[in-house]
Amino acid sequence: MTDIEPKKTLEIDEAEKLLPLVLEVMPGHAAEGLIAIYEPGSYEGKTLRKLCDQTLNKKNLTIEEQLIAEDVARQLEGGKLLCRGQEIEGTALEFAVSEQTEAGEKYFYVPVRAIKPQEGGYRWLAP
Amino acid sequence: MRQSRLDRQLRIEGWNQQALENAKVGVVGDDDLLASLYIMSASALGINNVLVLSPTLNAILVETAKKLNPRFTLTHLEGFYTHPVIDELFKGCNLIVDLSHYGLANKLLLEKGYSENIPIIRGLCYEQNNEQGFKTFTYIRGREWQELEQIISPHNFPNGHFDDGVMDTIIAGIVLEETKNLLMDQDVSDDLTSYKRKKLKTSNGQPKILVVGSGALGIFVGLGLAYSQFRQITFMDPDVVEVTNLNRQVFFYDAVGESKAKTLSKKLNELFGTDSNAQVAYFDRNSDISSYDVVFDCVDNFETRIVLSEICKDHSKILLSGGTSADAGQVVIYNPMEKGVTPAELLGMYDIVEKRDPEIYQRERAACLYQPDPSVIMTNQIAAGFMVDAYRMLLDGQQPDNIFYDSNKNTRI
Repeated sequence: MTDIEPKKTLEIDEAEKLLPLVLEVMPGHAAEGLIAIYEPGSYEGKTLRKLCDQTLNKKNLTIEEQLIAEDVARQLEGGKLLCRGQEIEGTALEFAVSEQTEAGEKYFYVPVRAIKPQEGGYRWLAP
Repeated sequence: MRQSRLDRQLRIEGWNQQALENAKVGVVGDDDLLASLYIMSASALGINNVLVLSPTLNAILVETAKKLNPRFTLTHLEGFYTHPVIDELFKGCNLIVDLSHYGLANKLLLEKGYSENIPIIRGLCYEQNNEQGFKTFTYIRGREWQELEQIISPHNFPNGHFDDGVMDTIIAGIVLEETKNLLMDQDVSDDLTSYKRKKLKTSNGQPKILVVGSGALGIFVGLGLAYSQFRQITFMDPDVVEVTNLNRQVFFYDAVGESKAKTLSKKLNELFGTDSNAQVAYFDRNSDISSYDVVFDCVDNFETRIVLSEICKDHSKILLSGGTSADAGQVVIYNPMEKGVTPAELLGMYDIVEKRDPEIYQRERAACLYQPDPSVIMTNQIAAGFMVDAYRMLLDGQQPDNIFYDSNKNTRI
């Protein structure tokens, strides 16, 4: 389901500050992206952009992850990383929503998409 | 003529125009705009044979459909789909599009889809409590999923229901995209696509609106503004209509060689009662936007979009920026009250344009080393609809989100 969610302001209580952060970088509107999990204490001081760079520079990718990474790279040729349609300036927590697994384990989730803007009109060919 | 009219979509890799032209599409509708908008867009796309069961159709949109595509044949049966015996009407249809708002038709069609293995593409807009929105879903036998519960209207029999020309324009675009995918044997979404926002309060007032660009985006923005009762609109575009525009620029069927801005303004004034006017001009740094309350960016190049972003920021004007390709589109909102970044900044247009060497550009242009980008009607009507809805939300005190649409992915919006 693809509802347009209203903007959420995350209210974080003290206990929630100790949650792990799941960052997913997706190519365009793909349902799946590259996922990185950051443990509490490892992400709070870093900008979301820095965490995205870390995620995209992960080594030892599986074949599936490698394909996603290539797709993200293609989108970023003339595209940008956006989170819920906004620039990814600031810390990851500013964009995070609190979710939980089926087993009831809570975590923060931040979805980032590599979006290439559409222009229309004419396509210029290489000389 | 046919080849030229469809040129922009024939350029798409893997495009199968014959599959569209040879198909027979069944449509079930209500006494609202949705089925008529779908018919008009289907005709522009080159679907030639449509059978509709609906109590009424919108005369203006049907007339436009017929003039757009000389091969277009519409069989209109006046009535409601209330009994399985009516099934026979749809014999030979490749698929059925269900745009009705009564549960009986929805259930009968799903049953028909299941028993006869015919795809059913469903689209509806709705109002519930304090919420308005739309849903679309493509049913193919085997998809007996929970999503089906959400696409069946609560009232079994035809009843008064919420209708909105802007949302209808978007739904018709998404449903037509699915129609095209099914007919060309391409992947269709298996997600329920839905959109919702708070119900709008009634009065919009009469802001002064500038629409820059009178191509496909500009046309559907103009239509959406007209359906939303906005009247004072100025269309700005330096270009004239070409035959190759006609697969998506629906109101230009009799205006090849004439000004786009003037033709669009005239058509909307005549057909939809707007009080619009035209400026045959490029938008540049000297363009005066001081008298307008809002600017819609419907142009087709990043260079002009950057100028629009900067001028609107300088003058503290609301800017709704839309962009499309053959399979994707975006709507980015600049609201000076929010002090956010402009569309050009958000989408990184400065970097893109900087990498384009102007000297190479000139050479390429001189040597004709460029080609038109493929373009279709669907992404334009979808993006335009979201642009107008975003503006209505702003006027209503709501905060619209930027929207990114991709027809190749399950998660369309």
